[in-house]
Formats: sequence, structure tokens, C-alpha cells
Amino acid sequence: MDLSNKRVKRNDAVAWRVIEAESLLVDPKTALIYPLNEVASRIWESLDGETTCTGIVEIIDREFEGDKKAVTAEVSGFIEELLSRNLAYLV
Amino acid sequence: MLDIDFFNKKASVVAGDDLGILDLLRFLSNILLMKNGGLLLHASAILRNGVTYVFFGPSGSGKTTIAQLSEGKAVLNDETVAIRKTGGFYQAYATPFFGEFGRIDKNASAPIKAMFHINKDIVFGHEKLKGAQAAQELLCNIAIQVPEPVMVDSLLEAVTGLAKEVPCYSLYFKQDPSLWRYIDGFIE
Repeated sequence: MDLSNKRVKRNDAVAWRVIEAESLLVDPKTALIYPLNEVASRIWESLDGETTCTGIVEIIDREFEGDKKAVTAEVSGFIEELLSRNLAYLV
Repeated sequence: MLDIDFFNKKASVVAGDDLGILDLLRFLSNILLMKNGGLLLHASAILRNGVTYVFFGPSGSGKTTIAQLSEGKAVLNDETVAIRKTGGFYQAYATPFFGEFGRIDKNASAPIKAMFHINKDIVFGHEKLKGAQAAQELLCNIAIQVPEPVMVDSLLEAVTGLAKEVPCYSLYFKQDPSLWRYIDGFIE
């Protein structure tokens, strides 16, 4: 799925907290816990429904090391995973 | 069925025969603790020198063994410990929901010095857990299935605060009286 110009928002039902730059997500519906590393945590925080996925790639590329191609693949793969688990949705 | 009136501090419960009175009390205690920013943890708690050491883990991880290895110290519980922030500190409280140890030594509470996610082993070992990892391990050992989304948020808030403020370790231990000497070797 090409998410480049899409906007994605966090599912408000998911409880989450940032702890020392990492995050913990809890989906009350499934009772599943999702620990996120620093990069995933930053992507999650950026899913405000306003920033496009390309915008999020730029944020990650700016704040973390790595080549742009790999960052794009990582961001897009992670967002697709969130969408498939109903932790986020397309606006 | 559970109907809680928090304002008047009353609750009515309709339950089947399979729910014992201790299960019911544990459930209600947990709800009340969560409402007040606390939680009930599958843990043993040992009181020593005015502070508590909390050892948490699932059934079989060694909570009762830790209690048995703590001769001369007060066991607040070997199965279920209440945790709540009071007076600016996270404190561990004794509860009546004990395990195979069969008793509590003291009905007391005290600030938590450190928390340990325990694992039985043939040697001693430990590692400091990062905040998110500690919070995750704590969440996995809460002594209740959380019934409402709003409580999930309270619970997450409680474990996050706990993980940020109290040092948490993964502890591998063997059944040996030198346990406390080992712990004293790395706890500040």
C-alpha cells in the first residue's frame, strides 16, 4: 500500500505512555501490550491525523540515523502494521 | 454483576457459586486501588530497615521461595501486594491475599526500595530494566483482568509512574540463603 500522501491517526481507544523515549501501548479491546522502541515511539507520536506519512518519514530521517530509503520502508511497514491491528486508522 | 457506588463507598455484587469471598475481596480491592492510582501486583514484599523490596512474577516464578529465604525480615505477603503512591513515595502494602507461605508477618506498608522481576535459576544474576520494559513486566503481573478501558488508562498511568520512580531489575536467583547478600551487592 502506498501511504506517502495519506494521513493516519492513532486509535484514541488505545492507552499509551512514553517512558524514557520508548512507549508502551495497551489495546483494551484485545488486552495486548505493545512495547515500542524509540523510533517506533516517535512514529506513533507523529500519527496525529494531520502529518502525512511522507512528513513522518522526514521527521524520522531528521531525528535518527539511517538512509532515507530504509527509513521510508521502516515507517511505512510500521504504519501498515498498526493499521492491520486497528491501533491506528486512515483519516 | 458488579455495581459500585464510589461516592457512598458501597458496592453490590451478584456472583455465581464459583466466586469465593477472597476472590471477591481481591477484585474489589483492585478496583478501589486502581481508582486511587494504585494497583495489586502478583508479588511478594519484604520489609527491611523501613523500606520494602518487591519481587514480582507469575505463578511458579518464586515469590513464596523469596519469602522463605527472608528469615529475620518481615514478609508483607508472598502472593499479592498492594502498591500505591502516598506521601510522595510509592509504597508496598500487606494484603490478606497470601500464598503458600500461609501468613503475613506484619500488616504494614513502607516505601519501595526496589522491584525485581524474578526468575528461578541455578545461579544469581540481574540486570536493570529500562522504564518501558519495567512497565511492561509490571502490567503483565497485575492481579486482575482489567474490565474497562478507562481503568486500563489508570493502570498504565500507575505502572508508568512506578517504573519511572522506582528502580526495577530482572533478578535470576537460586534457592540459597545468600540471596540477600547478593541483592545488597548491587542495590544502592
